Parts: sequence; C-alpha cells; structure tokens
Amino acid sequence: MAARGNTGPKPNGSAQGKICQFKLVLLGESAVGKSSLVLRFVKGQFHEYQESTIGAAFMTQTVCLDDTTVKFEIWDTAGQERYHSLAPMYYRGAQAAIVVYDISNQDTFGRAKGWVKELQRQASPTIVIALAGNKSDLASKRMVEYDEAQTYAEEHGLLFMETSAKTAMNVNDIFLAIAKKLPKSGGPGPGGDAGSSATGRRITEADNQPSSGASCCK
Amino acid sequence: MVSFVRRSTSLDDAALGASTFTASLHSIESCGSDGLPLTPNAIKILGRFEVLRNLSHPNLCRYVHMERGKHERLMCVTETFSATLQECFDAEIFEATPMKVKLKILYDIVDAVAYLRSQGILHRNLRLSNIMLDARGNVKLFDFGLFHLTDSGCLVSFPIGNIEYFAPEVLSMSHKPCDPSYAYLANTACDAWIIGMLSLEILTGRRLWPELSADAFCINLFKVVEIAWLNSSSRMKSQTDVLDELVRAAGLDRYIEEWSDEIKSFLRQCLVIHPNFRAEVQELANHAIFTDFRRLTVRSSAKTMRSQGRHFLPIHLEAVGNADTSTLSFWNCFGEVGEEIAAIWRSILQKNASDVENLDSNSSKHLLQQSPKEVFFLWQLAGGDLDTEFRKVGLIRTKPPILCLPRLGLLEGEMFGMERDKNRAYNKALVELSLDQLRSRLQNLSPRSYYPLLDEIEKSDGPFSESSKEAVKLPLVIREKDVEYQLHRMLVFKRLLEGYPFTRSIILKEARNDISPFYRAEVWASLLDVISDVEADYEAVDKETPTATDRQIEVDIPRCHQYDELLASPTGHQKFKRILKAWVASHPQYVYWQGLDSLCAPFLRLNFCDEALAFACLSKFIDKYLAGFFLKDNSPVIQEYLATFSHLIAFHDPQLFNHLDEIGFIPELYAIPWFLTMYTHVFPLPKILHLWDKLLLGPPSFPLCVGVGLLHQLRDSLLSFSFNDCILLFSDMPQIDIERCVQDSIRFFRSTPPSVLHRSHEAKISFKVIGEHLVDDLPDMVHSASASDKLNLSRELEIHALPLASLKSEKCPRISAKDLLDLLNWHMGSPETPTSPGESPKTKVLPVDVRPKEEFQKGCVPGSVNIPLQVVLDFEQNVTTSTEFDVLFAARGKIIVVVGNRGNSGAVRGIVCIMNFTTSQLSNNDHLARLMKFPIRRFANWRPSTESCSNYLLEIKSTVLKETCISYLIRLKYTVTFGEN
Repeated sequence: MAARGNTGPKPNGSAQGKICQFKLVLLGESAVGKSSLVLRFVKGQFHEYQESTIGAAFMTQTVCLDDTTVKFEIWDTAGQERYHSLAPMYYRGAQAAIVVYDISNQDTFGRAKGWVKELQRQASPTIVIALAGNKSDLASKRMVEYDEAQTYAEEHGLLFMETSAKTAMNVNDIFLAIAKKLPKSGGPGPGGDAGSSATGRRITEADNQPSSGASCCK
Repeated sequence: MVSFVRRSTSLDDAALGASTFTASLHSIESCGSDGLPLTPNAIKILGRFEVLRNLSHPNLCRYVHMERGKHERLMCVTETFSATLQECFDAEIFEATPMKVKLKILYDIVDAVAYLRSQGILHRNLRLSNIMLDARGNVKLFDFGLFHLTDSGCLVSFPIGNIEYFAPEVLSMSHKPCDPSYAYLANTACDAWIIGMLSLEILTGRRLWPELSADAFCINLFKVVEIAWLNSSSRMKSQTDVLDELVRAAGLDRYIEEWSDEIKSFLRQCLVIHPNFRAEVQELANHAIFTDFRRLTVRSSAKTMRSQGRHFLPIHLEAVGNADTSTLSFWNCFGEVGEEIAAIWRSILQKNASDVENLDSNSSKHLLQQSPKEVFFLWQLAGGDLDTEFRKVGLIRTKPPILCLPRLGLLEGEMFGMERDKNRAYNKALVELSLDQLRSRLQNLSPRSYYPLLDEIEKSDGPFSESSKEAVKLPLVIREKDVEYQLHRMLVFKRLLEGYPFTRSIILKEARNDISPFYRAEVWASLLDVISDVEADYEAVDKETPTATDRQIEVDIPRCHQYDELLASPTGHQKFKRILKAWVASHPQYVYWQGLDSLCAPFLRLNFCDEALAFACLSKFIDKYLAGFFLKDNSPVIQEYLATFSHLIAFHDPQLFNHLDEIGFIPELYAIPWFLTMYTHVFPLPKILHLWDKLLLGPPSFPLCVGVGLLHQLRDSLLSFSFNDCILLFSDMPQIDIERCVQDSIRFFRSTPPSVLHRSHEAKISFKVIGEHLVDDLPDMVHSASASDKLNLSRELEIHALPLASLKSEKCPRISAKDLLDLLNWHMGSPETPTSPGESPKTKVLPVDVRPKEEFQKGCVPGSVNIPLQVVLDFEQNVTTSTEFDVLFAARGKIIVVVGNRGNSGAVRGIVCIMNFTTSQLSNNDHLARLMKFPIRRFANWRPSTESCSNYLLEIKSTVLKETCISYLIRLKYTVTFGEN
C-alpha cells in the first residue's frame, strides 16, 4: 500500500520544512473516476476495472510546495446517490474538495453542480472546491463542453480542470493547484489526526512511480 | 422420488480428450466506447462455454472443462470415443451396410442437432470426423459447440465447418460472418442443408466429388443449384431442391433409385435451395423414416425436472435419455443378413474394448462410473495439467518473443511481416488424457468406498472413515489437494444431495468439516435452505423492463470481481444484470445499494449456468444475513450492526478496542463494506468461498465475529498504528489467512454470550438448527423447569433491545440474565445449584455487585463479590488503595459482570465514576502496571430489589479513561428468590 515516496530532494534544513496537513474529500456521481483520480495521484497507477467504493476509502499523499510540505488526507467517497447521507461525515471539516464529473456524461455534470451547491451551503465556508471533468481521454464522446464547465466554475469560484486518470493528464496539477490555494499559515490543519504525529509519520515508503514527482519540489 | 438415471452420467467407455485452439486477437490494444479495454476474445469464449457444459443428450460428447492459457489459447476437455464415422467411411463399409443401420446413425445425428437447436445452439461443424461412435454403436457428436463458442466464428481467425457441406446462401456470403447483415435465418437453416449433404454421403458411402478441391467443389455445387433453379416450375420455385441434379452431377443415380420415397423426401427437405423453405431440424428429426428409432423416454433435463417440483438442485443429474432406451439398438439394426458387415463394424467400434476390459479389474471400474466432470476434477488433483499435455505432443510450443515481432507496423496498428504461427490456426488434434496417474493414486481404495451409504455417513463409519478422520485434522489447503480425500468428500456430498432436503441435517454436519469444492454450489443452496421452485420463481420476475437503477447496475458490473474470467465475460455481465434486476424487482421493499453486485458475485460464479439458483441463493442469503441492509433508509440497521460490532470488539479485545476508540478509528469508517457485502468487497473470490463455507453455517450474527477475527489477525499492526495508518491498512486490505480468520471467528463466536450479539433488526426467521452447529455446547439452563415456566422465565431473562442512541453511547455490551447464569454454570432448578460464593473455581465470570452491603447480604448472585458504590465513591476521594479492588485484579482473565439496580441512574453514574477514578488512581501507582496486563476485565452491576433487578456490565479501559463505558441492563427478577436463605 505504501504511500508514494518522498521522491523530491529533501528540504535541507528541518527548520524550513513546514508541514501542512489538509483534509480533502472527493465527491461526484458513481463511476466518474473519483477513486481512479486518487489512485493515480497517490500511487501513479490506473486500474481499468477499479472496483466501486462502498462507504469511503482513505489515502494520503504529500506534495512539496516551495518550502512547505503539504500533506493531503484524501477521503474518497461512494458515488451512488444512496450513500449521500454518509457524505457530510466526510466533508465536515474538510479544507478542500474535488467534485468530479465525467465529460462523456451530461448527468454527472448535473450531479456535480448539486455537490457544489451542497458544499457551499453546508461545508466549511473557507473550503477550497475544485471541479474536475474527468475522462478527458474520451474526448470523442464528449457531452459536456469545456467552456460550459469553465463558465460554471468561474461563476461559483471553483478551480477547474479537465483531467484524465487514465493518461494522468492534469491529475497532479489539480491537487497542486488546490495546495497552492490553501492557506498555509495555520500549521497543521484542524482536520488532521494530530499535528505531533505528522512530523514523525512514515511517508517515505519507497514506490516505483514518479507520477507526482514533478509536482514535488522544484 | 423420481429415479435419476445415474448411469447415463458416468464416463464408462468414454475417454477424456483435450483439444486446443486460439482466439483471435484484437488488432490493436483498443478500447470500447466506455473507455474500458475490449474484453479479450478468449474470455468471451469462456463465458459462452458454460452453457455447453450443461448440455445433456445421449448423442453428444459432453463438454467437461475449458480453460484459458497464455496468448489467448483455449484448452477444452470433452468426452471422446475411440471410433469416428470417418474411419468407418474410409473402411468403405457403408455401401454394404443395411439401410436400417445407416438410418439409425442418421437419426442419432439429427436428433442431437435438433436438441442443440432447442437449446439455441447451431452446430455448423458437422463432418464425418466429428461424429464419434461408442462401442455400442451410438453416435456421439464431437466438437459441436465450436460455432456457438466462437460467436458464429467471430472470435477466431480460422473458418469453422466443412465447406463442402455448406448451404449455397452461406457460401455466397460467408466472408464476414460477424456482419450484422448476415441473415440469422441463413445461419439457422444451414444445419438442415449440412444434414442433407452428410446424409447423402452416409447413405451412398461416396463423396460427391472426391477428386475436386474445395473451390472446384463449390463451383460444381453452384452449377447444380443454378440448373435446379432454372428447371423448376415457377410455381414451385421456392420449394426447389437440388437432390436430383446433385446425384446426377455426382453420378450417384444408381443409389438413389433403390431408395424409398420417404428417404428421398427427407433429403429433398434438407436440400431446398431457399433457406426460408428448408425444413427445421426438429421437423427432420420427426420425419417418417425415423419412426423405428424414436426414443421411448421423454427427454427431460434437470431444468424441466425441477419445474415439475421434483428436484431443485441441478446435481449434474443429466437425466434419462440413455441411448439404450431407444427401441432398436444399433446391432439389432443389422438383422440376420448383415452379420458379416456387423462384424466389421464391431471390429472398428470395439477396437479398444479389450483395453477397457483389462482395466476393469478393480477400482478403476468404479472410477469410470463417475461423471466426466468428476473424473476430470480428480485428474487435475492428481497432478494433471492441460498445458503440459499439449506441450508433450507439441501442440503448444514456446517461441522466443523476439521471433514473433512484425517487420513493419503502421501507426494505425496494422502489422506486417510477422511469421505465421502455425499453432494459431485450428488444429484438430485430440490429446487423450491418460487416467493412469489418477488410477494409481486411487488403486488402494476398496470398491465399497465408491458407494457410501447414508447410514454410514451419518454415523461417520464406513470404508473411508478412518483415513478421513485423520485427514480432517490437516489444514484445509492440504485437504483440498488430496485426491483420495476429495473423492471421498465428493461421493459423500453427492449422496447427501441426492437426498436433499431430507438429508439437510447431515449436510450441515458434514459441511462443518469442509465442503467439496466440486459440489459447493449445491451444498450452499442446501445450507441456505433453498427449497422452492427456483426456476418458476425466477421466470416470474421481470428482469427486462428498464428501471432507474439500471445505470447504477451497468456501471457497477464491469468493476465487480473482473479478474475472474467468467464474471468478466459478456455472458457473465448479462447474467449479472439479470439477476440483480430480478432481485431488485422482486424485493419492492428494498433498493439497490452499491455492494449488492459484490454480494451476487460468488453465487453467480458458482451457479454460472443456473441463474435461477444463483438468484434464489442470493435472496435467501440477504434475508438471513442482511435483513434490512438494503432498505432505502438502512441507516438504523447499519448503525445498530456497527454498534454491536463495536461492543463485540470491546468484549473480546478491550485493549484493541481502547486503542481504536482513542484514535477515533470507529467501525463506521471501515466496516460498512465488510458487512454490507459480507466481505465480498474485501476479499477475492477464492477467499470468499472458504470464508462463506463457514459463514453459511453460522447464524445471522456470525459475520460480526468474522469482523473481530479479522481485526484480531491484524491486531499487532493496529495497536501500533495511528489513525491514518489504520485506515490505510483497510483501504488496501493486507494478506489475510482466511482459514485462521475463520477459526478465530468461530472461537470468538463460541465464547460470546448470545445476548451480546443481540440486534433488534436481526432476521426474525428461526435459524436455530444452523446456529446450533456452531454452538452445540450451550447448556440448557432451564432444563428442569416446566414448559410454561420455562417460557416466562426465559422471556424475563432475555435481553431487551436498547434504543440506538444508548447503544451507541455505551462502549461495552450488555448481557442478558440468562447468559450471566450460563456463564456461572448455574442452572435454574437443578439440585446441585446454587453454589455458594467463591466455591466454583470453574466459572469464567466474576459478578461484581455494587449495591450497598445490606442489600447484598439479603440476597445475591452466587459467586459475586460486593464492592458497594459507596466504597467506590470513597475510593474516588481517598487516594488509598482499596482492598476490594484486589479481588478484581485477582480475577485476571475472567469476564467481570457488574450487577446493580435496574433503572437507577445514580448507580449507573456511580459505576462510571468508580471506573474513572479507579483508573486515574491506578495510573498513579503500581496498580496500573498490573491492570495493564489484564487481557479482559469486566465489571457488572447487579442489584435485586423487591420489584426488579438490574445488571450492568462494564469495562475498564486499559489506559486512562476519558469517557466511560457502561453496559448491561437486564431484568433479573427471579434472582431475589434464591438469595433469601
């Protein structure tokens, strides 16, 4: 399971290594690729037959941003409408959310709008919301126009990117964009388990993929 | 009961033969419109194979097994027989053979093809070399499923069938059989034409134009067709047949002159040019020329048998229709004049009979009485491997990949200049699987072993009992590889299933050891008590009408256990969808929750050819284990389940519970998929099968214990992990030793007082019989009381459901008075009880009574110690150690039940305080160290009053407590009576 390796060069002094911890939640209709996005971001892998998520799944990943290490605690939720009632448990206290839809399916975009509305009403007022139009590799079957989603995102103050978990396009970028937008003054985020444990946490198990290496420390 | 003709299922004089071919590759690695990769053709073929495996007709070589090798290779095992019609044809004996014999052969062929047609399968691959004959002269069609398997040839790159037999419409359009414009009718009518051409050869003993190449043959045929068409009168054009023209062109006129009109009419019906007017195969089978041969017995499949309500399990009961039941046997057809020619036939058909006779010496004879599927199953266990067999004869060769590279590849994905792999083409070669190794492994078995009697199974004596008793002690993995043991289990379960439902109790008992993988599907169905007419139930459900749930089902299925080849095949997806839709449609009170798909997977996998049974099992399973889980609002049910689970962890592993509780790792975060899918979303299928083998024997609460068993196996990691690590651990389930997990779960289950597992939403059906199979050692605590007393008393003693809120707020489970008594080994009314306090060293429990001393002295639970609330409260204020608490420390390893007054919230709060302060005090002195060593510590509170009593079970945390843990509240009225001595 091993989290991704700390592939980037280590910050030379421990003093400058400020660590921020953020809780991020993924929401969206089922089979739009939420789990695949997480898997691509965290392990650099892609499973064609990614099994459905029941309840929720959890993963962590760290990115380096200037002198700050940003650690995401990612809650990947079940997409089926019926699991809706569980969602507040996961987005409560989250500092960031990625609302995912499938560009080849108009309905999933409608559902994404619903999630955005709910988040803006119920979640933390400072939450950073990103909209991800996933499966951009299926451009030939596109049903949701880029401009349409872009306009919507601007109107609602969302980050927006079209992503592809399959080709890895924009996957790291969207997480990185979120990391940039998050306030990093407060030290460990309130959503984390314990600030003290974060520094000592093992986040360095080796892994074989350099996927988010690019996003990690220049 | 109906008598099932078992003999027809045995392997007898057939052998197991294996053949191999490769599916065509997708041109490039291409994706479907959904972005998912295309299903490999070999997997599609595997999915289509299963229906063939269940076909049963006396004139078909049964399909036994198919597996997928490397590089899209498929390996297929079927029954085979020693002689083919081709050999007889080559021996040039047809001409001299009496017409009756030839008609008998024809009838067998036509009847088998008609049967296939009734099952929706086109043969298309008839040729003399594909028609086998057994030693008794019965026709056995071989390789009849190739056209069906390959989806009309679309999935392979080689042509199927004998081109010389093809109907004109097929010859003229067969370039692209997968083309949708390729008329289905042309397909279905082709079999009749093929039969006509084949009949001509069999009846005359001559090929039409033996010297011509296939091309020239076709040209000749078209010429004939053209002439026949032009010659026919315009009124009769559509009915035009080619018989006359054909025999004339081929010079076979002299034969046809001798034939009766009936035979000619039969051939004419086959050889009608226009496919729409050609006879259906079924009509051909009913033709007047076959009157003498028509079978007496009505052919009935397991399916119809079941729909008649006689039997519901398809125990491979390929019913009736033995070739011997036709009126005329093959040899009788020869008559007196045909003695001479019959002798030649005999020499061909029975050339291997002598070998068989030699082998028949001992137990191998009995082995051959098993069905081909069983024999093959054992053959594999005895070390047989198809890949090796093919390599031995050179049908599979490994070639360095570099030699297979193309010389030129276009960007579009087309490849050129690849060396053609000869093995990729169709190879008719048949490898006979030698049973020698299997025979030698089984040679020491006495013939009696093959025929276990119900009586012997029940008493577990019999020829096998000794060795199997030994074997039961071995680990499951070893038992599952042991040929002799598996043969024994197979025979036992076969015998038992034949007697189901009357043998259900014995099946349950046997299943406690293990379940024969070969009969798992049927055994599971019997464990789930599937008894209704499953076929009719399933037929009655609407599986087709589109519903709002369809989209969800459609996106879930291609993600569900797709590593399994059958479930990944298109056939599998269709079946999957139908079963899920059927379940949703037939349970209006429930809805589709994601997870239902995973739950369905094991049943579909085991009953791939029997959707109805898979559906029945799924329904029964959910009713029993997941009552209420699929309600639209299932939250109360799941919440209660998880709260009970949490209590169970606290009961069995307080240390782990305290740790998880402290880091906030609550079951809501990880255990929903465990329970909602009964672990099918957590483990791969092979593990699920073993887990469920035991789970199905347990009552509805047993899966909770499996959860504890899982945690227990990961205990060390969990204890050292922080929240994130814990949840990561479960996001990607580590390797779990399922057999150990199952054993642990059973151990936990046995040591759990039943009331701890009490849930208000549990299925209300009685599963007593099943439950007893895991808890057979529960004492009957009220055995001597009268029946009504017993009932009232037991009601008084039972646990009462708590509101969800209090259930969730409490950390330790409550137990019922009944269970407390059981734990005390104290039996109501039995003369030797009650024992006085402290007398019984055997009890597993220490009741701690927290009522004031005076009340305690009036009456108490025997064996209990009194630590009045006041003492505890004092203890809270004075830092001195109380001697009373030493009793608790001495009770290391026991279950501590705190007993107090019911409904007295002051007492409850008091207990809470005690625990708080106890632990905080102890944290300051050396008692903490001692306390930490306690694996299980429990406190209860019991206080009889004139009206009612209360009982609390309470748990101290092993580390410093922040909150409390209260638990148990149950009525204990009767206990007042015995205390007043």
